[in-house]
Amino acid sequence: MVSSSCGHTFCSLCVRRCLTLETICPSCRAPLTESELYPNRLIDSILRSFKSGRQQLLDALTKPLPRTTSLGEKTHCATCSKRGLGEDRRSGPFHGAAEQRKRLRMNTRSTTRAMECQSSSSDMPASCGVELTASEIDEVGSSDLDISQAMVEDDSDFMPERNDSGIDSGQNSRQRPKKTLLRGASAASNDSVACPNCHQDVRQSRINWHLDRCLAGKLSPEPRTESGISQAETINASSNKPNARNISLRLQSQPSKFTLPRPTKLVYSLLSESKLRRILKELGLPTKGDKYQMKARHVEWVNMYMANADAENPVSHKILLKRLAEWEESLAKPADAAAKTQTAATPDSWAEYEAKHADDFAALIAQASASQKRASARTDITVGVSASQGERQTG
Amino acid sequence: MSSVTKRLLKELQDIRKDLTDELLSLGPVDDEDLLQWHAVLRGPQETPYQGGLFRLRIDIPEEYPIKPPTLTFATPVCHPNVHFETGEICLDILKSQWSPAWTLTSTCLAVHVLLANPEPSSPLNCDAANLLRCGDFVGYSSLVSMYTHIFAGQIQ
Repeated sequence: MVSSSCGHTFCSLCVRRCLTLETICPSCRAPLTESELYPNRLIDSILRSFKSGRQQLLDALTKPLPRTTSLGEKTHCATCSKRGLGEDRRSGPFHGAAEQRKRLRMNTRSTTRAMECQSSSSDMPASCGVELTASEIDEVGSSDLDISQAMVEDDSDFMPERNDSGIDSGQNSRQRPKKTLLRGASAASNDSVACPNCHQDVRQSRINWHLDRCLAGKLSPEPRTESGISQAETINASSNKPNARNISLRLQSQPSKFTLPRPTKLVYSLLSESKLRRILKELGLPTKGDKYQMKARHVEWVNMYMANADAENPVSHKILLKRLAEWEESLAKPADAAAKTQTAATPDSWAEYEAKHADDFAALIAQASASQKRASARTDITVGVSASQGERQTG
Repeated sequence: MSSVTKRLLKELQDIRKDLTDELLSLGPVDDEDLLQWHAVLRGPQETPYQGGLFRLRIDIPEEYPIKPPTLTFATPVCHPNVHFETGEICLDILKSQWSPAWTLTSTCLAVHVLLANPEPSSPLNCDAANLLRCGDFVGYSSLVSMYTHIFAGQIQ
């Protein structure tokens, strides 16, 4: 997204397409040139987070849960819990009877995530999400189980426990969001807990492993065998989503081996067709078509190139070239469609039509040939008759 | 998906919440062709067009939204800036002053505003414009009301 000098915000490519036609702001008609466009990173990031959260929000809004826990309502803001719940539904491996427990875990996790989001949005060099090690996550997972167990037994017991857990181990020297995350974890650092399923005392660190097996007997389809690892992965994957993606995209875009030269705007009327073709060739663009097509292609390429340069995560020029080809195809299509409607049918559809109505055609041909025979027979007769008449007349 | 299709689908999605008392309906004529739309405008209150329902035909070019859509009245309208026979509308935003920031909804509303605010200096219907230019508002409004009653009062 880019902002104009008059304060309006547009999609970079769209506004550039407009400005190639007329150098005014599409919203307020103030004079505007492309040099007065500035990338708007804030809108970009708002859009990105909206896009990533939209489906979850929608899920949470359209399918209200049968019963929201008091925990969820009391301890999380609406957005967080929604996000967490949406995530819950989305995460495939967790289903079934343990849903209640999972929901709690997800809630805890969503707090974590919300905090991480805060820390990452304020541009902290390393968001705590990145630092999460597998063991810590395991701890979190087990703490969730602990919480869930408390919940299963008595809902009211939970709150004080959570409050008590504010007494942290040394880990609270980390960033603040982390503290919140680990608050639950440290609560679980006591030794043995009862399995919520079989009520057997199990060591805290083993509870995940135990519960997996315990539940596996009862709920065989549940693929929770390596939940420690899978949780770790899920947490890492889900909580770091924006960061991870950013990093990967940046990695992808920065060392792009395939770079094309930066195009400049041209005065097309001053260029001959061959000159324009040469310029396109230098830019690495397709050179087919007449001058008009090449001009359109060059204009679109300049817009695409500049818009890509504006983007937060520019794509490689290979992808950009592909998009240019797609754009050109989409332009060509309507013309084809128009041609189609004019000629009523393409060769393909002719063949189809022929196959479909083969019987009709055969019948028609038979009919035609029959009538032709009849007609020729009749003419023969008439010819014969007239000939005989002529003979008579002459005779 | 070409950009025009994308944009039109987006607009179509937004229309549901954009429909107002003035713009009664707006949408493609049929599902096959997204470039042919029609709309129904209600005659603005406290004007001679009050009580009429006016159908608009909207032809969208392939280059939309870079190029403006063509709006014509399918219902005959007596208005200084509307051609009585062809339904052609003389409105700057449909010609030179078009901007891609306009949507089909906002364009239809602009036409609605034009009904209430005729511009007799650039007429397509000289008779109506002359009445206005002479200051014969009574004559103008009775003429318009008559045509509204005849042509636009019948549609439900």
